Amino acid sequence: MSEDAHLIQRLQAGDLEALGTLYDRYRLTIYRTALAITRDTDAAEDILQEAFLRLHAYVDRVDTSLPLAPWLYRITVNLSYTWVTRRNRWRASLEDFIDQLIGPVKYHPEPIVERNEELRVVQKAIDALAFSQRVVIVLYYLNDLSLQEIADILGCPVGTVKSRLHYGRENLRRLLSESAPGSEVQYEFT
Amino acid sequence: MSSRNLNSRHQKPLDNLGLLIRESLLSRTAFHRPVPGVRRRLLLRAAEQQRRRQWLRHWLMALLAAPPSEFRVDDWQQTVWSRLAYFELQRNLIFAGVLPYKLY
Repeated sequence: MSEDAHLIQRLQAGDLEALGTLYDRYRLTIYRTALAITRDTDAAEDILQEAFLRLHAYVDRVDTSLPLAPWLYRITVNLSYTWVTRRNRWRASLEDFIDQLIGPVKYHPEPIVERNEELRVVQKAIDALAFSQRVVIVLYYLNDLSLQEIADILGCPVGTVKSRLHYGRENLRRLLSESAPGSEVQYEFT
Repeated sequence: MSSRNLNSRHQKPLDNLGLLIRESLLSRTAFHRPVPGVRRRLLLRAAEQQRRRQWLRHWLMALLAAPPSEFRVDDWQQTVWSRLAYFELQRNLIFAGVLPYKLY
C-alpha cells in the first residue's frame, strides 16, 4: 500500500493530521497549478484550501488503490474553471483598463529586463488562450504530465487532449507573432 | 495512470516553443508559495466540517431508527426547523454523503 493510501485510510477514520500531511505533500503542486491557471495568488490559495476540504468531505469515495494526484488535479482544474468563468464576467474590461494605465515600458536596454519582458509576453499569451487549452498547456508543460494522464484527469479522450495541445500551441505562436511585429525578438519555433 | 512524483519535471524533450512555455510558467509560479495560514485555516475548517458531519450522521441515524409512526414531519418542522432549514438540511446531508441522493 502506498503512503498516500495509508494517509487516506487514516483520514477516512477521522484523523485530521493525515489531512495535514497530505496538504504538506501536495500543497506546492496544487497551489502552483491553480496559480498558473488563474494567475491570482489569492484565488490559488482559496482553491488550494477548497481542494483539500473537498478531499476531506469526499474521502470515503476516494479509491485507495489509485494514485491520489489525478484526483487532486481534477478538483483543482474544476475549481479553477469555476473561478475563471465567474471572474471573466465582470473583470475583463477593468483589467484592460489597468493594463493601459500601468503597462510595462516598451523598451529597456538591459538584457534581463528584455528576457523578463519576453516571458511576460508568453504569460499574457497563455492567459489569452481558451480555458480548455490553457489547462492542457499548464498540465503538460508545468506539471510535466503525459497526454494519457491529462486525459484521465480531464475525463476526455487522449485525442481531445492532443487536439487542445496542438491548437493551444498554434494559438500561442500566433499571439506571440502578433505581439512582436517588427521587434528585435523573433519567435521562430520548431 | 502512473503515480510518479508530481514534482518531476523536465523529462519531456521539448522544442523551442515548449521550453519557452515551460520557462514562462515556472517564472510565474516557482517563487510563489501559499502563506502558512492556509494550512491552519484548512485544518480548522476540516475539523468543523467533521463535527458537522458527525452530528448529521448521528441525527440521521436516530431519525431512521425511529418507527415511522413516531416520526411526524409536520410537527418536527414546526418545532425544530423552518421549512427552509429542513430542505437545507436535506441538501447538506446529500452533499456530505450521509444521505444517498436516490432516497429523494
